[in-house]
Amino acid sequence: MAEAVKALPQEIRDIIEVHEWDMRTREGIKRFLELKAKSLPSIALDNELVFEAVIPPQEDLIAAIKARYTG
Amino acid sequence: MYIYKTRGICPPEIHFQLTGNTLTGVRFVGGGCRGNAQLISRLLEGREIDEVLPLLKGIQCRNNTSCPDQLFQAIQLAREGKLREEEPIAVYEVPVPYRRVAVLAEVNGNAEALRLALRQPVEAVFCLGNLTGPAGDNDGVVELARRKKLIFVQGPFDRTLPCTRPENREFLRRAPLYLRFQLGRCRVLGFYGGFIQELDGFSDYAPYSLELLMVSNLSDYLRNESVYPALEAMTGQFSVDVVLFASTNEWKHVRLGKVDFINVGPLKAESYFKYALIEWAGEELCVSFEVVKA
Repeated sequence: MAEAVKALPQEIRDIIEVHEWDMRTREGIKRFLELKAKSLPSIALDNELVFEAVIPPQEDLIAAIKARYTG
Repeated sequence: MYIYKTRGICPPEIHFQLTGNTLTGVRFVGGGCRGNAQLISRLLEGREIDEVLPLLKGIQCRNNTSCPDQLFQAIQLAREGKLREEEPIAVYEVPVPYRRVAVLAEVNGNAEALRLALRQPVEAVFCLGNLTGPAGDNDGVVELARRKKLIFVQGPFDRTLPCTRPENREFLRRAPLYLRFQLGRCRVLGFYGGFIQELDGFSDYAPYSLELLMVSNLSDYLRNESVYPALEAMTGQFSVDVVLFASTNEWKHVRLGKVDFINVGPLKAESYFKYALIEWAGEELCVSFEVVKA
């Protein structure tokens, strides 16, 4: 999943901050539960769970990011 | 054991032991290049720190440091007494394989209930903690456990409710927190519950922490069924095939992925005794919750 985010074009990476949580850790599990996620892997944008149990196609991920970008 | 929280490198922790000047058990955990890290660990095993420190110091990889350089800093802190030595979370690995065992929990100082459980027609009886209890005959139950060589892991009561006799207190104190045994082809792990993560020496990256955290923190002891898909996905990283735990006073058996999760409730309930019978029969795992009338 992190690879999908790392593979984003630079102009998209420039407008986002990426945090990766490790589900093997207490912190990662806590964040997973806060987001009310159910499956892995999951991507949240602006604290909202957007993709779950799927690695989204790059164009879907870019569209979801752009839909939230107000800058 | 020392646990060092790293800075600027991929593995978030380094674990190691120092016996006098001898370095052992170096593990870079939680990330990074596993192959290189294992090689470093093997090369350093049993070496004198005065010999290895110059080799580690100042190596650069990223962020002006590296795994070896962070280990150098960790050892220096340990030598200076600035890094606390932690008691490792004890694991008991039962050397004999089994085919049919009884597993119980929450004896709560009930020596009569334990006596009955020990009479069941099984190869071994394991207790998943709280041998003792607030209103129990704790010395009586511990003496019975000692006499019968009961294999058990600590529950929270066993750490906080001392027996009167020092040898019983010592018996409880020395009990492990995790139990590992083999049942037919299944690798089985047993523990009481999430209280282990509150203990000094616990690390998210230590052996069996993953199984513990998935049970207690992620699934709330299997009660949060909405996260079962995630739990099932994580079982691919488990090091065991069966996870036994207590902690909830509930009885439950769920299979997710290739892992069987078995929640063992209290041994004594009103007018009956209950335990989990776990058997390797016909090349498969059979689990039942057995009731014996008092």
